[in-house]
Amino acid sequence: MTRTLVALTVGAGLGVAGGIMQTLTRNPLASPGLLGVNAGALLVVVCLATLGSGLPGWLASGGAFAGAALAALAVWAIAMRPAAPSGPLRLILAGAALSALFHAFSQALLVIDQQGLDTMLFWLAGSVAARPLTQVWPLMLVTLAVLLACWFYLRQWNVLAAGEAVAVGAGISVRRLQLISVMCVVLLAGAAVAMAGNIVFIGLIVPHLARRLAGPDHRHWLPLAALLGAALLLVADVMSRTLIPPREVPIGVMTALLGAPVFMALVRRQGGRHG
Amino acid sequence: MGEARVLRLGRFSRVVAWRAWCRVVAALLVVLLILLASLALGEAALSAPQWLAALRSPDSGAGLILWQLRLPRTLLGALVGAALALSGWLLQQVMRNPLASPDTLGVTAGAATLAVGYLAFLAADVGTAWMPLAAALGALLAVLLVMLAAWRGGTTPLRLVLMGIGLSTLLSAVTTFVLVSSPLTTTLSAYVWLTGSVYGGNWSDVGWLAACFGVALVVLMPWVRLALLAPLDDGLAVGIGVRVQWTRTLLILLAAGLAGIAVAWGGAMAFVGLVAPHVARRLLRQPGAAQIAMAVVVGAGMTMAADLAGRLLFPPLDLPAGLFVAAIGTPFFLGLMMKQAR
Repeated sequence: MTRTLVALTVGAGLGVAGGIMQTLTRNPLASPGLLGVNAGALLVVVCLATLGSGLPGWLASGGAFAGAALAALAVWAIAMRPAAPSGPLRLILAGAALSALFHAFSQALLVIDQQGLDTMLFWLAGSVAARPLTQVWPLMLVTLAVLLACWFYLRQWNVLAAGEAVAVGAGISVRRLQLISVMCVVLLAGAAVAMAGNIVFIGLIVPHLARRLAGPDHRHWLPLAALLGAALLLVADVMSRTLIPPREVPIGVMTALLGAPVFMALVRRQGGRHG
Repeated sequence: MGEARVLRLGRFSRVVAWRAWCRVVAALLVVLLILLASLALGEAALSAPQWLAALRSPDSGAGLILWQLRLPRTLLGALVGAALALSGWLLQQVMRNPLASPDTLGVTAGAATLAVGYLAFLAADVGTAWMPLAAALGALLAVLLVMLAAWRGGTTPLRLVLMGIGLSTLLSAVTTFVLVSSPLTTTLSAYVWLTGSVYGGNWSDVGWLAACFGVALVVLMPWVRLALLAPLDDGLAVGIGVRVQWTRTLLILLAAGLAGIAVAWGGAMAFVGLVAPHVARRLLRQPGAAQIAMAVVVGAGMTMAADLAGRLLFPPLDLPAGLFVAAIGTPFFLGLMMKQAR
């Protein structure tokens, strides 16, 4: 039961976070996984776990938020500059390098602290298993609250998607909207990592599916993205439990196996245009 | 660099950027200093006279440490760094983007997947001797897959990078799965490998890596000019008579091979390939043979310094060099991103 709830919230959170990032950066390939937000959150959690083993749950969650915020800040600093000749490519490369860096540090820390490795590993791979409800309900509340808050901004995102100049003309404070969007992303992705570890590709693919089904209006596709994200993660969870019966495939591995081919097909279809 | 001289030997003549090469030599001297320091320092530090004595008598206690433990290990580090730096330089030219590195094409992830798989499933029966082969094979396979997936009447840098990132994520998920499902001892040794370490390098490793590196260099030599043209726009390059797709494929495969062999022996030491070419470009602005040499020298110096730091900083522990490569690379990388963003 807890497990299902966690999968549902995490999926919805990641789906929406990816959608917001894609609108914000105007880049169809932006997502918390690819741009290093997940990796940043992971690194801080691993750091904290290395420092003290008897870690209270709230501190780990706080660390996840802080790490997500740090990474988001770095990516934002790059993304919000005027577009360079190689715009979309640069953002993705910077994100990939950033997340490679965070992962390198997490790995190094785990090499030093070898007892921590065993407990952290499954969680690093992404897992929704075996969390007592008392530990996760605050995070679920955060996710739900942010999702509800997003409801109020759907209209403004629609305008922003038409271009910053248009948004300014329509009387929207673009800076403030961007700031709020980034905060939403950080909270959603941080909560997702704190609950379930590193789950990739959900944030990338779900918004695309939702847009295809519901058209370009944020008021329609962003809620749909939340639903689809939740459903997809639930399916992945069920598959991860039933694929190799006695054992369990980490759900992060499962989503990667499902998501990577879709991602590559997506790139094949659209990526060529930017040349 | 302004000062260029013409070198003539019979019918052979070349324009040599004199000042540039002087800087390369200077960098080489610094790297040699690191090498000497790396030989002298460690758990049993040697004073200068002791050091000289040990150098002359390989059979004494200190000589054994010097010749059989420290020298091969340091050389291995240098070679790994040099190969990664060269590979990174090539990829950054071909991808026309200073943030490209062997990671972005899935080279490291491919090597890691096969190496970890080998450790988990085969090492118990066959021994770990063939692990470098598995890693190199993984690197090449991954790059071939990426190129195949990105090929649609030719490739573009953007498609290649995106496919590379997609495949990397997929492969690292597989690696994680293997790690999770294998016993803890395997996991530990796999993790050390993933971080990148030249611990316990011996002469046969050095020999193999040097041979592979040498072959790759010889193969690369005739194509260096093409690599210098790679940053040009596709249309322009075709206009001056470069076979764009063919060149790109060739250079990428070469770079992947270089990174593959480096990773095979040194582990996934990610950041050398990203950072060393930048340092080289900072030191020598003009692209050319001297810049390549500089990148190689810087890469070698970086890994040696990182390995030395790993040995010295926390005495009882021998930390993997990859950790310090990341530690050196991070501030540099962040600075680079900020500067690029401006």
